[in-house]
Amino acid sequence: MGLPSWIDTIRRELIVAPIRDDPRTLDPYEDPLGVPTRIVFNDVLGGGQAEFDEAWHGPRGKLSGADRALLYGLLILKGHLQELTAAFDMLTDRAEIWDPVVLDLGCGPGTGGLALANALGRDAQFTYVGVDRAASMAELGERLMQAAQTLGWMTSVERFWLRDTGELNWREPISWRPVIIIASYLLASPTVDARALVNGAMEQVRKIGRGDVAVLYTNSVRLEVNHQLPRFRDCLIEDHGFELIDDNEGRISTGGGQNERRLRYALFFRQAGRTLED
Amino acid sequence: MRLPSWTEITGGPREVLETPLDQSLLVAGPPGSGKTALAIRRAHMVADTGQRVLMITFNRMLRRAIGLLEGTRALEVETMHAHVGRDFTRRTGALIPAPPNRGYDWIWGEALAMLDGHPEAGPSHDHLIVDEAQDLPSEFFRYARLHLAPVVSVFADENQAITRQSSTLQQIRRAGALPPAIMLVDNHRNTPEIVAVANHFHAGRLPTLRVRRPGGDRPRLVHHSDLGQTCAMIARWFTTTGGSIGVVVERNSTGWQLHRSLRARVDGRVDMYDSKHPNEGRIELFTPGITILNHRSIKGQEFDTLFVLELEQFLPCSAAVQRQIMYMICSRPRDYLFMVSVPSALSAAALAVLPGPDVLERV
Repeated sequence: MGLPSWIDTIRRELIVAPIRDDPRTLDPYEDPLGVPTRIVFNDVLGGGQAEFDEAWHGPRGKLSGADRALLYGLLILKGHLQELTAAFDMLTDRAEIWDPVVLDLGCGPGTGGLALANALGRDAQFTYVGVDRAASMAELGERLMQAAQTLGWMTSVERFWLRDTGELNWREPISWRPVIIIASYLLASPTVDARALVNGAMEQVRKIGRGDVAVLYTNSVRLEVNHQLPRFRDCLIEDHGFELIDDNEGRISTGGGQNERRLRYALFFRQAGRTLED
Repeated sequence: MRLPSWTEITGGPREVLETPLDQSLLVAGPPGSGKTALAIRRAHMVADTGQRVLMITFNRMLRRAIGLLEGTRALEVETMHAHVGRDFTRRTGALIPAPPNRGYDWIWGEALAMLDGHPEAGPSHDHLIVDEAQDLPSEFFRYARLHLAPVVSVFADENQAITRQSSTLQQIRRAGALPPAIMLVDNHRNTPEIVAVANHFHAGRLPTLRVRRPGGDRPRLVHHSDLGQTCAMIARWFTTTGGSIGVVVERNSTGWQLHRSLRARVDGRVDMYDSKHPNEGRIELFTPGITILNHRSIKGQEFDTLFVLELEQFLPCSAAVQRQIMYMICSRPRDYLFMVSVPSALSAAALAVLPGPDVLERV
């Protein structure tokens, strides 16, 4: 499965084209913004876990935070989008998830929001809360979503971009709105503490209401990046009353023929009202 | 990758229907979330297995509504007071203990203690199903579990409780030894405009109604200088709009006066329910027409249009229970809600606790 065409369009316009047209670039897939791809992936992007707001000084000049976010969009975003669009297509499966609140933890450029919008349809109404410590990621994400709106997508999506979940200033009265929490590749980061992450997110969920809560975890299949998954899982199940729906390794097709990506994924769920006796 | 769909993992109605019939159950949900329909469905499922099932309601009108909803199938449906009063006497040969002149305010502790001496009777049913459980005293659930049936399915909404004897979900759960509540969170009954008025009176720990219907007309506050005007308005509404119309009054005298005038004007069904002369068995709630009743009897009912008279009985909501009554009343109509002040205008204090004109239009 490739990218949905509207997502592909905005990615080309806002990520691929600016890199291609940048004077530092000779070939966008060989030396985007003047840096060889291999070096981009390992050093500039740190495998997706870099400090994206900081400037990067390389042999052929400086890359700004915005440049680094663009390079993330070029080399990493597409695969993550493919995984999350596949996951949300299955999770929604034409069923209504009515006016959910989405907490996308370590959201990058709004990856989970774009994928969920695609699954719920052009007119879907939801609140998207993108949390990422890099402002450059949020800026790129906001531009992608604005471009989506010009194509008639995500026009009923309310958006918040935060550096930390604790910044969420939820003003709506407590409600039954379902909450979807996305932790996609976040726990690969060595600086993230799984328990603190879960507890922080649940503190916000309490303010939102008592509706259904689903937590979707995705990551690479590499063992070492999943070392925090057991703590993440235990904290959700034992401390916050979730049940484990699935914890597995899987594949998604990424286009014609044999192309596929492998991933580690887990889904947790807590039914509405289960916190009533708090 | 293989993930289940949202419908497969979210519970609510599905979880209620899938709970094994030999397991007790507690279901909580806002008005209009389908509790009564699910309760009837469960009762039928139990009855189909050949077990003795009994449905218990708080008031006689809900008993009637359930009787009509379940059609020709002979489910046993009774109000709590009628059933327990009789059951107690059958077991002990005595009347259930009550203070003098407080007929329905039973002394449950004493009643339960007296039953300890009569263990031989055993449960009368296999499965008990209770609707609008929040209006019943929590001791009833203990009585039910010990004496009426080994399996109890309870449907409740603690925000709608309107009696002094009412119970919270926790009290019901403890007294009936029930599992954690399954929540129904969506309101399928009211338009968003009506929900906005109901939610204005919402109090309590559960979130407000989550409405699942498209928009409709804004509810209205109307002033009439005499009951004749109100009668003319209701008659006109029935002629032009039709459907089922509920009229809430507090004084039976007002109700009977309205009943007389409407019958003279309306070519169709006009019924007045008065608990002093129980006639609910003759009221065809689900055929188009006008039903006049008080707030205690409207519990659990739904109408296309609702007129609420004698608002001064509940406003200015100085007590929490008045807010709950307003919340419960306002969540009865599916499409149209009218509040009528007649014959005197509402006091400034009463007006102040009503929603603003953006939610409740002034006419």
